[in-house]
Amino acid sequence: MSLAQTDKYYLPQPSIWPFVGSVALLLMAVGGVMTMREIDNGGWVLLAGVAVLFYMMFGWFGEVIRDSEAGRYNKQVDASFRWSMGWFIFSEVMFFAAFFGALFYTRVLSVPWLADAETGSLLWEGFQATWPTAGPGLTKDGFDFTPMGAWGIPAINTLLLLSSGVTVTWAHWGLKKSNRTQLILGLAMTVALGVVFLALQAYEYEHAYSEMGLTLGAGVYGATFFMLTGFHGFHVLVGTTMLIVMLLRSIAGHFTAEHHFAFEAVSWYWHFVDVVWVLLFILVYWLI
Amino acid sequence: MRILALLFIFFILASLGSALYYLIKDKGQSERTVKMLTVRVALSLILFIALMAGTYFGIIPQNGLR
Repeated sequence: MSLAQTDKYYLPQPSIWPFVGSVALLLMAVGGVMTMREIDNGGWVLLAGVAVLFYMMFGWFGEVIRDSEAGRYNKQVDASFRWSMGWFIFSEVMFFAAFFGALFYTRVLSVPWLADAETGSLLWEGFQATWPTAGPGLTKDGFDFTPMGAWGIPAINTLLLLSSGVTVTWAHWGLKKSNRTQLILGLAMTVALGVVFLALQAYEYEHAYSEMGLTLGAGVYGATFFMLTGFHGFHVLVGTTMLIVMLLRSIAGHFTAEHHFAFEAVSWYWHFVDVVWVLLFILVYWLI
Repeated sequence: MRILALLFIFFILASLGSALYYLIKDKGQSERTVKMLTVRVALSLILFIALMAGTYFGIIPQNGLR
């Protein structure tokens, strides 16, 4: 690489963090398998993996933040961050499109096909094309579950997440108008709303498993329900973690009205997760 | 009613998409990203309140729009 190019691009130092991240993933995978196979100490191995992951996040984020605050990220690096964000979101859209697509395929196409006159008489006599369903051949074998309704916790969670969209936008305006108190307050409220959302989601899952017979194994309804809402919940967890980092950075005096890519990316991500929830609320919980 | 809900969803997705476009293009130097995100959250709130109110007043059936 010529000198002119090294002037233009910032080359980070060789980093230990991808290696640490790989160790975390290995421990988590082994611990997860051990837990599922009920091998002794599986939970501890899994927990060790999570601990190493947090150590990696703390170290890696810190390094990137120090580089940013030291002014090492020039325009070229800024543009590459923004484009990376764009492609990351593209992959996220495809990810959720696949799961929403599975739900659409099941409800609109495969369930009616399995219940139509010819297929029904040959394969699954008496199977009715109704939704929710565990699927033909499964409903008779004791898959007796109650589907999750929209009113109650899901509606409250929608309101919580939409409110968090308002508070993060308020914080965003605070940053643009150089009002740090508004930025910090807005972010703190958003984090709090995200945490309450996750707690209610955990309660809903516990209720589904213990009271409603609604599990990941409850046929196609249970599978699509938990895949969609579970992965969304995981995104809320990731978003909340990133918002906490933004909150701490805001308290530390980072970001200006013109220089705040990290905040803007996290704020946008939160809006994205919020929109996915609105679609989930309408398509998964409501149109049952 | 169903068309109206779908229209809202379309505009929510469009405002979110525009915000991402401005995030990449304006590089934090304008207010266009935060403005589009404000539109996004306002539209989502209106849709949610309309769905709740519609169901409460019996305009939308209990089990949703089909």
